[in-house]
Amino acid sequence: MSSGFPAGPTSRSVVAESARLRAVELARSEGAILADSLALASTALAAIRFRSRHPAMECAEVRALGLERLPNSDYLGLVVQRLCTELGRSHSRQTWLAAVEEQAAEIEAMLQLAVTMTSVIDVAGELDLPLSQVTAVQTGARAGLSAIARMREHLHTVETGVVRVPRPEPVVRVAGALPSWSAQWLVQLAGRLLPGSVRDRYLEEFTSELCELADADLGAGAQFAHAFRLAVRAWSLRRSLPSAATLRPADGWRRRRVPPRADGAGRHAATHTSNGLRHGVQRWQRRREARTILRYQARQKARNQTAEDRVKGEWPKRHRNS
Amino acid sequence: MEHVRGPKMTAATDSVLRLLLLDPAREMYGLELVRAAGLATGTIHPILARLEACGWLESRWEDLDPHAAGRPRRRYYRLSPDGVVGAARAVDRRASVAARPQRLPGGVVAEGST
Repeated sequence: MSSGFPAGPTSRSVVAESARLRAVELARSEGAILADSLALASTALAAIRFRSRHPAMECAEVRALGLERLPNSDYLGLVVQRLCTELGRSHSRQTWLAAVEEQAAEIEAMLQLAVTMTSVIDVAGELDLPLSQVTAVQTGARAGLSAIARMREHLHTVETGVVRVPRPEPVVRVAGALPSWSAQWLVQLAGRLLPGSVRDRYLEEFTSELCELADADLGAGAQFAHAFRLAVRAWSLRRSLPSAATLRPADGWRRRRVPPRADGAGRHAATHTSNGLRHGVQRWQRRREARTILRYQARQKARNQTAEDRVKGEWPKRHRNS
Repeated sequence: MEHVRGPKMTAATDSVLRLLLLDPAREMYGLELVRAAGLATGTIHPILARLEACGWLESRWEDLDPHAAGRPRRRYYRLSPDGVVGAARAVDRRASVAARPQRLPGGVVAEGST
């Protein structure tokens, strides 16, 4: 028999927020991976560029290769550093995304050029360099491109808010006794009382304690009492957490008021007119007024016709047939 | 970040700090601390959270693959360098306050409880 253990928060808004924060963190970690993967490639790239500019290589064949178009390793390093800085900055979401995307696009272009050139041209043979230099450039650049692709996925998550939270694979107990279901349920409840940013951490911690109690052959009653105390003290724990854990980030994903659209369409159009009436009410009032005016005009017309008929000595039309 | 004020010192916090001060380099997990300090299980987390928020405690996850081990990871706590100094002062202050004679109604002077 196996048992599933806590799989994380369940509240949709909290899941979305924590997943978005996680996406930001993942994008930052991809930035670090990118910098690491390019460290070796930059050295090899610098060696290739240096070799291609060496006086010994000053010949028409080498010049024809156009190796000067290879990305400058110093500049590449600078852009990567700039990307990491932008990733670590706290801006508004749109500004952050725009800045990161700009740097990522530039790095991607440089890496693609490096991969293409080193694939098409036999750089090692032409420049009399060890093949490992070219391999290092290609490996590093491809790893960098993969990191950028993964980073883009995380950026997309941050931008659209459409988050796919992979449900953590439940830890299956292969050894030891199983905690009672009631204690597990209470632990889950205690976890739900905590802010989303720390929920996963405490759920795992609570569950590990519960498993240890079960391993110590403590009965279901003792486990329940432990879980009950956890649940009772969840509010106290919540208050004890640093304020950052219970608040949204300052630059964060706070719902922003969207200004009314210029064309007045959509749900953000101004709902009130200049005279303080809502559009719908005004339309209804205008229709009613138009009906009244039409009725009045018809009545006036009929009255005038009657008066004319009397002047002519004719019996009014409506009574003529009766 | 420098914290001017320490955490709220309750008897439970005091006993946890005393325990951690016995060997500041030693890492202990929640249930271990509870058992050693003689507290009721499930009561330690608010204390640890307060101490961690003050910067007195450092915590880390156990180096363990939960799927391979078949159990969730433990969270290990230990005193930070600032925490060692702060905790020692706080424990001393609390001990001195407890040892101070108290004047009871009727002019009777009671000895300290420690």
